[in-house]
Amino acid sequence: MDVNLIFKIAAVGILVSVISQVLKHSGREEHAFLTSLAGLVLVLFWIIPYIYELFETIKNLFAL
Amino acid sequence: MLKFCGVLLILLSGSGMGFRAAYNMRLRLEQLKQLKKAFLLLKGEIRYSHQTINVALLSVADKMEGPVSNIFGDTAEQLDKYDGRLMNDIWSETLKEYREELMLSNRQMNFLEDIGNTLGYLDKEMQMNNFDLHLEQLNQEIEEEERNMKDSTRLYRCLGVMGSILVTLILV
Repeated sequence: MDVNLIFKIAAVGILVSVISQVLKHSGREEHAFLTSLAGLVLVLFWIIPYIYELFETIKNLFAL
Repeated sequence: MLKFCGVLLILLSGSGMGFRAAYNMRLRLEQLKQLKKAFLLLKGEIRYSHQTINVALLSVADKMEGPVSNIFGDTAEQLDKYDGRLMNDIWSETLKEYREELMLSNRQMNFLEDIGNTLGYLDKEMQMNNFDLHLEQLNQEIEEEERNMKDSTRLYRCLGVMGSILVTLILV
């Protein structure tokens, strides 16, 4: 796992929150919600392989 | 190095799109004001100089600039041909020709076409009353655009820059 991933997730989080605030301020609340959702899906897309790998490692470790 | 150039290109293009959208909004407001000025001049020409509609349109075209001047000038030129086409057909065709240069919304374009439908066939009094009605509507459009413009330009610029940074993060 690359340390850069943590910085990327942090940057995406900051950007998504800023875009969300700007859109809410302009009265486009549905777009703000969709932006937050898109950011969440993107980060999950990055994280899920590592979570899967974690469960596999635990499974192998305990020979389950 | 290549990655850096790619990132720079994405940032420039994304920000450019945002700034261009903001510029289009400002241009739209400016064009609406130009149209208002043009119709005020046309109203004055019809009221005071007693010219035919094509001469009045040409006179207004000479006093204006940009696509508004071209629309009025081309309409006057087409009318001068006397080929039997109706005024509103000529006006609609000229508007279609300059659609891309005008940054107006579809609703505003339809409103502009409606103005053309009332040009040239009414008596002077009715024409003046129609102009007053349309100018009032044009004023309302301008006020609405001025209200929306400040927030929208900031939104588009911000979205352009932030969106390009987000795309960079996803790709890099």
